[in-house]
This record gives sequence, structure tokens and C-alpha cells, in this order.
Amino acid sequence: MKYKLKDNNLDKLIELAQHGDLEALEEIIKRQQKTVFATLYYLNAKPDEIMDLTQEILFKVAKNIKKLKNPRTFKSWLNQIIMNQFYDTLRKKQKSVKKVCLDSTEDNKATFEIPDFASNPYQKIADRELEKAIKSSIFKLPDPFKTAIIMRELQGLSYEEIARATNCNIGTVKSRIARARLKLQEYLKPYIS
Amino acid sequence: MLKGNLTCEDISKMLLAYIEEKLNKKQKDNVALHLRNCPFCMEKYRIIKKILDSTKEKKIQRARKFQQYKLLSAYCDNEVSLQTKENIEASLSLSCNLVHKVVKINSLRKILGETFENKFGNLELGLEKKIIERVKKDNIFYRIKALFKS
Repeated sequence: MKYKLKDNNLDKLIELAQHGDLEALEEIIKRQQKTVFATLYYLNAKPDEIMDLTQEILFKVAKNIKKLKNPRTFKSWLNQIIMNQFYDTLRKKQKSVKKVCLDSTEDNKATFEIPDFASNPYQKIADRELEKAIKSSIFKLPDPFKTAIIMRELQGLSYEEIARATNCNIGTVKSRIARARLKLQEYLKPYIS
Repeated sequence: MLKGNLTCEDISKMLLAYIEEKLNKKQKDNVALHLRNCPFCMEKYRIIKKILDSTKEKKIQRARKFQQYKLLSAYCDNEVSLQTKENIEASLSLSCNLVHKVVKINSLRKILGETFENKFGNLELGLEKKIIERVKKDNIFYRIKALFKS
């Protein structure tokens, strides 16, 4: 490798990738894949579709990275792609789909497990229960609150980045996050000390 | 009963609009005149007004409470101006209730953060090679290059 890609910050990598550097592009994808996957998971994409969607989104990112004007808006841009792709697939499905009972799909979702690595078995069970509670709580939020809180708490985006990604102003982001938190506090009351 | 030129029945139809100040000047004066002269309608007016005022007050209080929560929530994300931050910190030193709210927001953030980290911290997807391959296949320039190599 010509330069230490690992030590480069994201802005620098994006700049390199935009000039056709595939190693830099690979490093960007390596770093972002988990974010995309986790976001889709909490947006409640179907378990068997998360992987495909993640790949589709990352491919779009890789293919279009040259179109990104300002590297500092990368995170917002990435999230726009995630949301567009996610809701596109939803819409397409709604058009073509046979009707499915919501309750039964809920069960299917619950059986989708990503291995976790906690050592203590009791802790493991408690964690799993909490994780399920969190997932179903996030799922219950209205879409704008859901996306705002995922971008904030899961991805650590700033309010400004969220505003750009969701195409609204910072005041709106502020209240969406606050509303989401109020609701989550209510749903997750037993777990919050 | 006819007081002014409106009957009590007219009044009960117009009362809500009167309280919400949606009547024109003439209608308003007529209703006011009737109310002054009719104790029955006046009592009705008082009861309705009281109920509406209290719900309005509740709404205002709820909105105020939410505004406060919103500020605290942004404060926890370090997304407030320096001035606001100082103001909030000054209020926090005076109010246990506010501190309690901040603690709650932070413990929610903590359990979310920890759960996300536990769930995905060690996840290895290894998609990068696949994606790059796809990009290469998709890009005509790389396809030509590969052709020349072979």
C-alpha cells in the first residue's frame, strides 16, 4: 500500500476515492458497512433482505462517490441513500405484495439473531432481552422520529448532519429527537434506572 | 326566551364561536347583550369557558414542558449554544427535577449506545471486496483494462 489508509480520516479517503483510488474506496466501504447494516436492522428491514440491501446501498455509494461535492457531507449523503433505497424497496414490495399478517412477521423478526459476544451467560440473556425491547420500541416510533434517533444514537451524527440527510431544519431535528427520546423513555421504563 | 334579538337556542349554537372570538362585531354584541340579560345562558357560558380555559392551560403547560425537555435533550447531545449551555447548567444547579430529567436522558442514551455496541461491535461483514469487484465490473474503463491484461 502506498500510504497508510487506516490512519487516514474519512474526508481524506473520500477525496482519494473521488480521484479513482480503489483502495481508498475499499477502506471507506469497510468502515461504513456496519453502519448501513445496523441502520437497516433498526429500520426493521426484513432479516433476509438486510444483507442484499446493504450491498445495494454500498454499491451505490461506491459508484456515485464522485458525484459527492463536499466530502464533509458524506454521512448525510450516505443516509439519504440508505433511506431512499430502504423506502424504495418497501414501496416496490407494497405494490407487488400479497398481504401478510403483521403478527406472524413479528415472530419471524424475533428469531433473527446476530451472534453477540458477551461473556457472562446471565448478562447475555439480559442483554438480549434489552436488545429486543429496544428494537421493538424503535420500531413503534413514527418514521421521522425513528430515522432521527437512529442517526443520532446509532450513527452519532450531529444535528446538522441529520438535518441535511432528512432535508429539514435543525429545529425540527431537535424536536424529533426529543419526541423520540420521550417515547423511548416511556417504552423502556423498566430498563432505565 | 328572547333577550336582545337572539333566542337561547341561538345562543347555545353561537356560544362556542363567541368564546373562541370567531363572531363578527354585530353578532358578538348581540350575544353579549343576551348573556347580560339571561342568567341561564350566562351560567352555560361560564361552565364552557372554564372547561376550555383549563384545557388550553393544560396544552400550554404541556408545550412548555416539552420545550424544556427539548432543550435538555439537545444539551445532552452538546448541541446548544454556549450561552444556552451556561443557562441550563445554572438551572440544573438549582433544580433536582431538572437534574433527574438529564440523568434519565443520559441513561437512555447509555443503554442504547451499549446495546448497539454489543450487537454490532464485533460484527464482520466483509463486503468491501465484493463491492469493489462489482464497481470494477460496472465500470467500462476497468473492463477494458482487464481485457488488455488478459
